[in-house]
Amino acid sequence: MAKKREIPEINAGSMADIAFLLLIFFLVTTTMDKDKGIIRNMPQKLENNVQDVIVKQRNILNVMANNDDLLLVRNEYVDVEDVYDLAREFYEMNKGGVERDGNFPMWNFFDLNTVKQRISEYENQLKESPDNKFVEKELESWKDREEIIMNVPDIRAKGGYYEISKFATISLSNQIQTSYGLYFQVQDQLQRAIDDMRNETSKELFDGKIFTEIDAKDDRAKTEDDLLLIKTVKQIVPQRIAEAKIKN
Amino acid sequence: MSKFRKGGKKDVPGVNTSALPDIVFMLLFFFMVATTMKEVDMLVEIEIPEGSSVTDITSLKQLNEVDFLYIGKPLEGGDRDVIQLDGELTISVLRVAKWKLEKVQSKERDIQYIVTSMKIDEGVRMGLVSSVKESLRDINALKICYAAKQKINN
Repeated sequence: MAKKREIPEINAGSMADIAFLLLIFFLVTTTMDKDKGIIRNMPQKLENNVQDVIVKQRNILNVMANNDDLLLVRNEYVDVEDVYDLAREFYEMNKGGVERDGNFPMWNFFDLNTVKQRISEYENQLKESPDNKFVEKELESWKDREEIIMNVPDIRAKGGYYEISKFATISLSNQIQTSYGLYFQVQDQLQRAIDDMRNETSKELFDGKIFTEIDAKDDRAKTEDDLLLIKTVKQIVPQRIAEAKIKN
Repeated sequence: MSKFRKGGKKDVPGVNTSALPDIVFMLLFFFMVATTMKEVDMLVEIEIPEGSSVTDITSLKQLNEVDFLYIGKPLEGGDRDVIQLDGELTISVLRVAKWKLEKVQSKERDIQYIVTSMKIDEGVRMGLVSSVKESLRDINALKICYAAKQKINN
């Protein structure tokens, strides 16, 4: 006649110690601060020498920072804080196709007919020279425009839209002794100007949606509508920042 | 026989600590979720700039798609700006490209999608920064991030 043996309870008294130990480990090895920054895509390295493209002065916003951390925008000394306004002025001076000042980039109107015509032109060119990267890229951008006109309700209703000249570029140049702090502040002001303009555009065309919020989503979480919004806004307010080779 | 016993030693009952592990575990889980691992011990002194339009790259970091490099003055010895790559200090820009290629090898994605986050001290000169960028460009590591803090006011 065996007596039923009782299973002894496990002593959990040291559980708290173990948990404390783990807790302290995590407190020491981790950080709370979020990683943030300005993301930039550098241009691809070019293998063969490409011919210089001559761009009209009106299409370039020249931002130069020298060895003494002085900032020159379009040949005038400015403070870093002014870069925001200057960038917006550069983009928006002739907004909507009204020619207010000939020293700033033009805005062009695109309707479905012109876009279709251009697409067939470039398709023919591509047939003649199938390896031409430039033609390929142009064709792609015209196809994007066609997609925008066909699919964005507000734009389709008007039959087309205005877009800043494709040559409009912000050109940044530094010298060797320019401080990174100044360079970053310039980048930040430009980014803020472009973000603000993009948000305004997306609010106008897409029922108050905010571009930066949608663009920040994970790639896998973006819907078709999101992608169309991103494509449209980037086409209308492009971010073209060219960095010149550093000078002594 | 009285209902209320008088006299005798009164023992203060011990505090029940059986819920203590639960509380500590809760704290532990909070910290596990809310924080990220420190990348590396700092060997250079860095004060990163403040910006008003910065993007959060934490999600990329959790996917292991970000590499960090640091540029600043060394904590010990020397007044010259140096580059810190993980645990090593260098002034050679060529070393950066080599380091980046080694880092990318262990990852699944192509080099052009992997961000290089550069934490650079505000006082560093652009000469060094652009040669680092140039060497990354040479190996097609085109996506870079200028690390910054979020400006609070504004």
